[in-house]
Amino acid sequence: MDDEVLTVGIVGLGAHGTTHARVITELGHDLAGADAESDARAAFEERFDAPTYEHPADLFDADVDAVVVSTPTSLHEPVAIDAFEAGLDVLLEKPLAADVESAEAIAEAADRTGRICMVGFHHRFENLFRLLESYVDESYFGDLSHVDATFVRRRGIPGRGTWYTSADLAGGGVVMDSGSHALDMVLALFDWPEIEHVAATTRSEFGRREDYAHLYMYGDDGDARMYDVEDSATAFLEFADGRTASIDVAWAANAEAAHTYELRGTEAGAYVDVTNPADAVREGTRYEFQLNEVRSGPVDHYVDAEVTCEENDPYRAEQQAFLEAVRTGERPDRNSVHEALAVQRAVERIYEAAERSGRN
Amino acid sequence: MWSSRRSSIPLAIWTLCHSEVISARSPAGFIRANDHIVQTNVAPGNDRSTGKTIQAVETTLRVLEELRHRESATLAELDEALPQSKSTLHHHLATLRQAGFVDSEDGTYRLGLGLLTLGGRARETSDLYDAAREPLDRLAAETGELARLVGWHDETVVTLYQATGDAVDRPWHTLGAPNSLHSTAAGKAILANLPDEQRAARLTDDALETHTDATVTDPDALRQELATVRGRGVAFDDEEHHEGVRGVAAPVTDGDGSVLGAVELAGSVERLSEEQFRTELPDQVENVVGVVEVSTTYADWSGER
Repeated sequence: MDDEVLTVGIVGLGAHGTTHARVITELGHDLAGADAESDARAAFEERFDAPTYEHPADLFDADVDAVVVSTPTSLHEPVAIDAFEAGLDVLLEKPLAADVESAEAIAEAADRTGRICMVGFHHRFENLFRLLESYVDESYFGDLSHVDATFVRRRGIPGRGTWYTSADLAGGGVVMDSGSHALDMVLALFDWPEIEHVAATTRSEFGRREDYAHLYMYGDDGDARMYDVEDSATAFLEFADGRTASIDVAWAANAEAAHTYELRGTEAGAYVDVTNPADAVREGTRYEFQLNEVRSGPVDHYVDAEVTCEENDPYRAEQQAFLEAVRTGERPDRNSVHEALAVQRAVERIYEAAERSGRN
Repeated sequence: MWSSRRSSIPLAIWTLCHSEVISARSPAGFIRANDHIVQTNVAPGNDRSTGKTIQAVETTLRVLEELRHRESATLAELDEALPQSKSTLHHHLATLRQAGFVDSEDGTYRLGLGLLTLGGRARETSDLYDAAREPLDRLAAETGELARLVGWHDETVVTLYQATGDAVDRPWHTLGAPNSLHSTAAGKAILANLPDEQRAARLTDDALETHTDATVTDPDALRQELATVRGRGVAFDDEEHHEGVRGVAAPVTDGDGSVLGAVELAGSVERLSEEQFRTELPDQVENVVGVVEVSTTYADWSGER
């Protein structure tokens, strides 16, 4: 069963779609693709030696076992729902949808058809993060009271001027993109609590600048042709049980790149750093997990312990989990469509709070 | 095939439904051909200008075009303008009346509203129109000005849709009207992105009509401006088509870079400050164009096939 070769259909053959395709190939499975752009289809066919279609429905009619959706976010809803209705399990790139209404429609369709719908918050598959979660689960930190999440790049606006930076097509800017990752991690650590209050500010300071200087860019550089989204945001969340989180996200900021989570519990704290070396633009990796506690004994003392584990490729781990679920029909323990819907609602709360305060 | 939404009713019909003076074009561009629709009157491998046509139909089209040009005409006036005999013209007019394509009152003929049935349908088959309507409504609401979608297909250029904001009482362009390419922002955005030979054909002295004192009619000056438009991706019209009106436009292209049309935002010179006109509006127009392009590319991905 384990070595059953699946054929996975990729809808949307841009940067994300190509990454998924590479990983799926490495895992020994077959591919097919769909995109309305003929250039994207040609490049995909050439690189992966796989058939492509202009319309996703034709891909779904072909002999595929599962589907990965990596289209512009505003197209997630129609494509995913068509896939569910064709009887296919779906891995959707994050965020789930461009707005809550569309996210709800996807979740409803997944439930109605009974298909597996996983959403690509791949950082949840980082070994370090899974380890951190296990410490939380066994109450190592006592009661977790606060999480401080930071996901900041110095200059890392993705696809500046393409659909990535269009409010209509992506649903928003960095809050939708990096922010949804940070919210997903925070909500998972707190076991999906209800959000009571949000204070937030969003800013758009860099994307439109003609002198935007950068060292690399994810996706294509559209020279800010389309750019009507925020490129940084700071938010404070209060949950119904009184616990709190702060979220600091930026595609561009005059600061050192960081993707970190600081946890404060009644018994211990932790600091996790999963900063992408490509963002940090530095030698070596930053893959750290530190435990901070205070103990007594003969003398009171601080204990700072370094937890080390093997660094993994979270994209690959995510894809493995998805394809395993497709094979067995058993749902993965993380990244469900309902978790992603909770993230979508949290994103919306941040936008609403920023709107309310006039700080958007 | 999933492209079944495309029909053979072309946008030129839309032009006919509304009136504004343009020079008659021939052949009329009233039927659109594509890979999936085989036409008996178009020889394979030929474009429409060299295909065989039916003379009686051409006469009918000439009558319609003449009525559009004049707004209304008597049989005697049509007889004077067209080579056909009075009785032939009368038969054509009677047939057109029966179809609701021509109205007559006291011996004066004008275009019938029945044409709008065809025009409306023609417009509905345009993915561009579908994709642009909502973003244009929002653009007009946000700016208070006039947001316009101009479509380009088979040498036909037509105002496909326009949305008016609060500041605009009456749009200064007629819906469906063919658009002057060299004097409006939308026209320049299209012109700048046409293949070289198509553009050159439209940059001759006699093709460049003067609309206002500011209209650029010198082919060299225009050629230079269009190169800038291509570089920047945005075209401007500063009272070059209508006195007191300035516009900003960006071209809508498909994945291969072929131009499909343009989105334009135009408003009164008194309302639009230089900063708004040169910086803010171009940003807003480009945002809308980007959305329209992606939505057009993936038009068949959402909704029914």
